Order: sequence, then C-alpha cells, then structure tokens
Amino acid sequence: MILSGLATFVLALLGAPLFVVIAANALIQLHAADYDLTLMFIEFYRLAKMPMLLPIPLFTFAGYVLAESNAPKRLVRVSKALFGWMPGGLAVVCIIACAIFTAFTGASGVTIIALGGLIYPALLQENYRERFSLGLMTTSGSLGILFAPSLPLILYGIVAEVPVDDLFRAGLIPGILMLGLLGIYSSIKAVRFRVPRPAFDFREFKEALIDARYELPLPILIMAGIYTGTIAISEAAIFSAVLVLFVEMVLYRDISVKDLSVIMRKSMILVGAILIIMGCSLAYTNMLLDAEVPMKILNGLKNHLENRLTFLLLLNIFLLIVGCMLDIFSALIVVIPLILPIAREFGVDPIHLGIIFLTNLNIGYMTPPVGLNLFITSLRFKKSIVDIYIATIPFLLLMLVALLLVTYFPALSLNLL
Amino acid sequence: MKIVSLIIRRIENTAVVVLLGTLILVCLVQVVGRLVFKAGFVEADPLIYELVLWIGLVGAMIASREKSHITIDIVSRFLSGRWLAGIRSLTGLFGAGICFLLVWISIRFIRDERAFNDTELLGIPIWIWQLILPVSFLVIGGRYTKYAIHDVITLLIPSRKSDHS
Repeated sequence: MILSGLATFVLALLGAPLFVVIAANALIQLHAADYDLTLMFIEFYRLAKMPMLLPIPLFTFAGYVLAESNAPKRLVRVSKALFGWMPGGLAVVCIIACAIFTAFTGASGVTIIALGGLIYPALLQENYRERFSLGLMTTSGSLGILFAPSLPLILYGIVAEVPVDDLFRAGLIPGILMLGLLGIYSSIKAVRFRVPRPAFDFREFKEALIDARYELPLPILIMAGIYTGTIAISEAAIFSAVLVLFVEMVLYRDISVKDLSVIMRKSMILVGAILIIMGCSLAYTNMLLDAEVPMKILNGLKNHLENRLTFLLLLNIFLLIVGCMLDIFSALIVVIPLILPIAREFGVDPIHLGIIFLTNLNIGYMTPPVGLNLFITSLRFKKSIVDIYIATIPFLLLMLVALLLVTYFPALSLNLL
Repeated sequence: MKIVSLIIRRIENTAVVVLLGTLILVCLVQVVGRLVFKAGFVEADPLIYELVLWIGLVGAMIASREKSHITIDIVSRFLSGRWLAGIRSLTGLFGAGICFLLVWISIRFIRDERAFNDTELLGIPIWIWQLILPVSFLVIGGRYTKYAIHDVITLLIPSRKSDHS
C-alpha cells in the first residue's frame, strides 16, 4: 500500500494529471480496505448534491466575461484615479478587493477566478513585474477568510461550538495585520518597479467614473445585497453572471455572441479541472478518515509534546500540511474535533485556535507543492506551476511572519472579545 | 479516427454552451421566482446541481483535449525529446488506464442505481443523468490513450516531433 502510494506520488511528480493520481490512490485504499469500488462513484456523485458548488461555474463565467471585455481598463482607470497617487496603489486595491470578495465567497479559488482576470492584466499594464503580480494574485486568493461573513469561520464556530460573533471579532486584527503586511511590502515593491504615481486629478476621476458607470454599481449592488442578507452567495453568483452579460454585451457591446461561446468553453475548462479533482478527492478523503489516519498522526505527536509552545509549533506545521492537501471545509470538519481536546489540554483558547487554524489553512492554499491557489493561478494565467511556486515564495514568507505573530500573541485575537 | 474526434469535439463545444446557458437561465428563473413571486419549481434545485456536475465533466473532457488538467509539472519541465516522450507515454498510459477503470466502476455504480434508486428528475430516471460519468471518463481515457500512442511512437522513432497538440 505504501509502495503503490509512493508510485502514484512519483507519477504525479512526472506530470500525471492530479485527478488521476487522487483517483488511483482512492481506488487502492478502497481495494485494500475490502470495500466495493463503486463507493468511488457514490462519493463522486455527491458533487451533484452540493448547493455550494453552484457559485463556482457562475463566478468563473462572469470573471472570464469581464476579463475578455474592456472592464479591466475602465475599472483600473477608476482605481488609478482614486488610489494611483499612493505608492503601490493598485496592489493595495488588489489586496483589499480580494479580501472583501473572499470574505463573502468563503471558497478561495473563486476569488482568483473572478477578480484575477480583472486585476492581473491591470497590474502588468501598470508596470508591476509579472512574478510579483502572480505572487500577489496567488496570495490574495485566500486573504479574506478571517473577515465576516466568511463561511469557514462560521463553520469553525459550529464544529468547535464557540460563538460565531466572537470569532468574527477575533479575526479582525489578525486579518488586518495580514493585509497591512502585504500592503507595505507591495508599496515598497511598487516604488522599486517605478510604478507611475501621478497627482490626484479630480477631472480624470470624474471622467473615469462616467466611463465605468454601468460596471461600478455591479460589485456595490452584489456586496450590499450579501451584507444586508438580502441575497445568498448563490443568488449573488447568478446575478453577477446575468448582470455582467447584460452590461458587457448590451450596454458596452464589448462581447459579441460569437465571443460568448469561446468564453463559455474557456471558463468551463477551469471549472471542469477543479470539479473532477474535487469529485475524486471526496472518496480519497473519506478513505483516509476511515483508516483514522489523521488521528494516528496526532496521537503519535501527542507523546512528544512538552509544552504549549512546542504544541503550537507542531500544530502550525501539521495544519500547513493539511492546508495544502485538503480543501478548507473538509479540513475544518475533519481535523477540528481531533485537535480541540488536545489544544485545551495545552491551554489554547478555542477562539484563538480557530484563528490559528484558518490562518494556517489560508497559507496552506498557497504552499507548494499542492496548494490549490497555486494551481488555480497557474491555470488561470497559463503559467507553469513552478513559475507560480517561485513567484509566491516572498509572499509565503510574509504570511508565515503573520502566522507566527497570530499564533504566539493570543492577545491579537482575544483583545476585542 | 479523425472524424470521430472531430465529432466529439463538436459535441463538447455545443454541450458546454447549451449546459451553461440552461444553468444560467434556470437559476435566473428560480431566483426571480423566489424573490418576486415567492414561488419556485420544486425540481429546479436538483436540476441546477445536476447541471453543475454535467458542466464540470464536459469541462473536464474539454480540459483533456486542451491539456489543461491540473498537474505538477516539476520533472517534465526540464526534459525534452525522447526523455519527455518516455515520461509522457508512462503518465499517459497510467492516466488512460485509471480513466478506463473508472468507466468500468461507474457503469457498475449506475447498474446499482438503476436497480435500487428510482428517483426521477424531469421525468427521467436518475441513472440516465448519471451516464455522463462513464461517458466523460471514456472520452478522457480515449484522449490519453491517443496521446500516449503518439508519445510511444516518438520514443521509438526519435526523428518525429513529440508535440501532438
């Protein structure tokens, strides 16, 4: 079993599609545990029973339409007029917009898909280096999960049985800390890239607003709808898709009917590549759980832990590994019940644990070799995954600094309670 | 052979447009119905979820033809010529093998569903909706086989180019 696992791992490194590797492992586990192999598809078919998947194709499609239209140009013009005078203005816009978007969508891949097409070309246009821009996009893809109304935080509250509003308050300072670190780093980089910094021009600002008058209300409407609780995420997704189509095809006429079928095809390739991996993972994760693999690892660790600090350090390492293997929701549901009692033993506040947990999983999304954001960025911008690894390293180090601060200074999380 | 792959290509291209268009339309009708008329179709939600799966799998079929499936390209990045062709034939055959295995397993799954699950969607038994599972893995496996054969030929006759896009 270990041998076959190793063989498939080597095949993955040699370039076999990831969904094939995961499916192969799931089948090996099923066979070894003497289960019927059709379990693979009982799990896979659960994809057709998950309401939370609906936003993925819709936001992807809306994002691709926006990317193919002249929307990036118009929106960049507005943001440039508004923030361009600051050092790293557009990078800051990118960080904040992505954080807000992720807070609402919860699932991190969606952010890079929906906003990446908008911001990435704009960054390049503004003279930011390609490598920096790719790293920034990958990092921004999961930034907002500590802010309300992030679904992972709500889920943690349910599983760990702690008040969700406490979690939201606890996440505020650590979340802002991460945004701040990235913002400062980006500003320093922007100065070095000699990104143009014009003075604030009111007339240009007004003209940019008029130029983007059909598009600007879009994010405001959608977000106001979600904030006030008038519309759910899936409804926001469908409104985005329909409104974007209407604005770009009818009002601006940027996209023709002929373009549309190509855009649909291109965007659904990405959706297919993600969903097929998810489908194959469902069976695989269940088999790992069935074999009590996470529990065995944790029990083994428990014998060697001496104090709170070593526990937290090992917890960080463990969660980083989990975060780059599992998606955030299954990671939450699977791991939390296992480590919560141990964390209590070492005197870690459950609210603080939640913030540590989500910060780790957030970083796991951008940790080589298998962090999901890396793959999404690689696919979305057609860059080799190795290029993305290299581009993300400085950002990864920055996020690790934030993680250490959040982990070892509980007051950051617990002060606002 | 060429005609078959051309026909599959056409079907995929049409299917993805029809499926996504239908998804957006059904969602819109459902949301507007719920918000404005406080009513919706009972079958709209399961239909939407089923459409998402279909779109995903048709997207995955197209991804196999555009070589857009997610991979870790650490090793193959530094190789070219016969070495690349050798590794590609290995991973290609592995991919094809697993996909064909999944076709067989999914057919067994559907046979069970047909016998024990009498749910219907839009009056169509659920097992018919599930047929997309073996179909998509068959097409993907077929493509991987085709690519692997090309790579094996490149491996044996080095003068041929390894690119088969």
